[in-house]
Amino acid sequence: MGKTISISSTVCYHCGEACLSTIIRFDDKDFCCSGCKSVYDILQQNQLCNYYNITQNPGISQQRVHFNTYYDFLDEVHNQEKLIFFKEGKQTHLKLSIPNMHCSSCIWLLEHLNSLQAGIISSRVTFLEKEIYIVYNHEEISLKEIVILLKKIGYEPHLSLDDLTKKQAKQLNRKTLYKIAIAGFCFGNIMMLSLPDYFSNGYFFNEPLLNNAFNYIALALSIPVLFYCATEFFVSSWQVLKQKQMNIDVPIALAIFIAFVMSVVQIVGYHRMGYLDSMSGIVFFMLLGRFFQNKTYNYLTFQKNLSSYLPIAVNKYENGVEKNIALADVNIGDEIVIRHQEIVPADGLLMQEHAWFDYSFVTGESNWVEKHQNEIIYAGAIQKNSSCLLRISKKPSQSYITQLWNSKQAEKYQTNKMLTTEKINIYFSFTVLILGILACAYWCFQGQYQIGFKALITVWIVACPCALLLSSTFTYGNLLHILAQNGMYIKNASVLEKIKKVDTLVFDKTGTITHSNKTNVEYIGQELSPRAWKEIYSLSYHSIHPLSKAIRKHINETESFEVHQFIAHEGQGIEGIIGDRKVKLGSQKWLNVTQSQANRFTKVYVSFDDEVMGYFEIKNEYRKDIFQVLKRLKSYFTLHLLSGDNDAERNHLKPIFDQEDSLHFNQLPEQKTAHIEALQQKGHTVMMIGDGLNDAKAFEQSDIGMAIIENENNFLPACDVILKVEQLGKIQSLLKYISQAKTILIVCFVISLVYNIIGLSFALQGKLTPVVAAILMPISTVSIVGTSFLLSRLFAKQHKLTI
Amino acid sequence: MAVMILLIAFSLSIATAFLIAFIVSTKSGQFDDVHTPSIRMLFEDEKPKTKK
Repeated sequence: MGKTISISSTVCYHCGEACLSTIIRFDDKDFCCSGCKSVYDILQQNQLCNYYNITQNPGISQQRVHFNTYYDFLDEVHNQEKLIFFKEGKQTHLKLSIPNMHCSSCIWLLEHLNSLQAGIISSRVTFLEKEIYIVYNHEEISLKEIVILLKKIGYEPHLSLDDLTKKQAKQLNRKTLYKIAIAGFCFGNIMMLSLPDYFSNGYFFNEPLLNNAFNYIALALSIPVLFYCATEFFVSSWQVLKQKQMNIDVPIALAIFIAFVMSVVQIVGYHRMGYLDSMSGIVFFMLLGRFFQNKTYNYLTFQKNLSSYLPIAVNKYENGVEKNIALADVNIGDEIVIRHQEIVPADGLLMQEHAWFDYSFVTGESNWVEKHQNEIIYAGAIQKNSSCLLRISKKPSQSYITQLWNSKQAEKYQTNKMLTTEKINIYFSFTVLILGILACAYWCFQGQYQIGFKALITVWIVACPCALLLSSTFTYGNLLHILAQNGMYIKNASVLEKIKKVDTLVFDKTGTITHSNKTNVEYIGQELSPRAWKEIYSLSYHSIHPLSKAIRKHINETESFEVHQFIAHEGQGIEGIIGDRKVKLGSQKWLNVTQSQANRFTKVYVSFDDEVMGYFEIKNEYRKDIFQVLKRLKSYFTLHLLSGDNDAERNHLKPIFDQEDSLHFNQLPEQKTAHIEALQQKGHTVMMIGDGLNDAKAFEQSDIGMAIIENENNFLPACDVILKVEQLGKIQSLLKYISQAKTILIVCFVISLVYNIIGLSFALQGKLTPVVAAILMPISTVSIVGTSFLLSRLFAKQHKLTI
Repeated sequence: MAVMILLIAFSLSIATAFLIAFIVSTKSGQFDDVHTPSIRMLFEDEKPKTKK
């Protein structure tokens, strides 16, 4: 899975990342950090090094792992119960979600856990769902130990104590498969039994026995279709009718029911086959179409629960002892310990003199804030000190961030609106119903009851709206599939319809059009000697601040000098003595530099013995080819940029976002939302393209929220569309492709309309035999499904998409 | 021509057998995960390997 391996530098044997700062040699192999080395060590001791033979550098980099997670809460029985599948004698079955799983080596290792740890009986992986199913002996090993083991080898499980819905989803999936299989089986066989009827006006065999046998076998086969496969149509239409509403299942259920009743009348009364083949065909194709349309992308969740961002357990401080408890068990007034880099899970008061917090998780801007005793710390802040004590003032479920999260989301993401085609369909089926009754009334008025009855049935059958319905179900299903193959995942078909209307694109900057973690560092100032470079490198080596890291990466030395009297001034800079020189790296203010240009890029100044030599300019690197992509998009859409950053890049971006009022910096989440709302009030349909939680509100407000992801495990706010970052270049083709869905649908509509007009014109005159109507139906269905399939592929090819 | 009924019975029973086979295999979970087995089958058989 696309890991870039730089050729020039040494690559970690475990994770394949370039070894930047340190190289650890162990067992003739290079490692980027001690974490990776220790994973290798564990595997090597247990003779599991085959792991490294299946895929190259399969491991997960241990550099970014926080080791301060506690799992003591897993010793509590009521927390265990939520994770354990079932217990039987000495065996316990456990299912865990492992987001880090990414290649065949991962599968291999995770399925060999039993040779790594005694007590584990077997383990099995479901790759697409990123889950592992472990059977273990709970007398030999505890749940906690298993979780710690997984973490130790780099596969930290994602624990969630309210996640018990997965099993049901699987059951549902199986049920759909049963239904499709049975419907398909019955449809095929009924079709075969109907063939003689098609070709011979019903009396193929001249033997009433044989005819009747065929008819009744078909009838028997249609019963499971009606009473098992088609239940969901009846149930759903009954539910909406009870509320005096309409949905698309109503006409389908009606068509199925009428076709069945009419067929029974025909078979029993006239010894004719009737429309059982059409009826089972409708059910089969509709189920199949829905199966594809509703096929979920198992590993992506469009509706993220906030709880998946917050820690699952916290350390409660009570009577001088720390106790690890589940977050759900936290009460108001509890004191909890938040360690370095941990997220504050609930609003609370700071219980110590002062501490530093980073609200980037909420606002998108990495900005450190100092808080003092008794100030409220909102949930979502990331702790930047070694550790701090917090008294919880609100339950996690009532925190500010939870409310922010829940505000509008329910509204936007739960209404299941009808598609345009579905609305047309309802009108269509009403027209057909009335048309049939009118025709019947007309003929009855003329005194020709026979013809009248025939007209009624044939009109209803031939003009069955299913062809129309099928075309949209199939076309959208197909489109979703092709788009997913091209790295664009769409929540459901109604999103597709909305995307077509989009005329304005709003971009977020950091993480969307720039890399979120790749930075570009440039040194501006007096020339530095190689020794000076080395000194800066050595100084920066002692700080974990992201800016120091960026500078260190830029200089890329291999060895460093010893630094004496190193002091880090929080939020200002770092200093130290190297050799006999005092070296400082820090902000403009701290080093007393007079401001030359206002508000340009982030700068880090460097001074030797208090003489400022120059500064490092640090800017986010733009994504490759992003400007070409934007330029191409510009001819189709109005582009806007809303950035939380400062306006250092204004001049750079001006040529692209050249319209009035289209370029905004220093935007808070609320301002972004307001801006989008203003655009919408002007009548624009807005698509927001962003990347993170800080865009969550904007996603809600916009008509379509598109999240850009670097890998599938990334944290994501709820959105409508997920686009893989590699596919950003293709965004224009993808959007155009979606808009072509309309063409496909129109073509299908025209085809089905032609069938309908021909059929209806005969049917209304009472000249169409029910058999011909029954033949016309499947033919129109097949030709429409075929057309939609071929066209969607053809258009995809035109846009050079992978099929 | 009455023999046709026999043929129909045959064909139906064969088709039913396949349908049942499909349902049983779905029930046993064969179709829950259609991706992992394709990778799993390519793994080498277990032999405690000494490293190169």
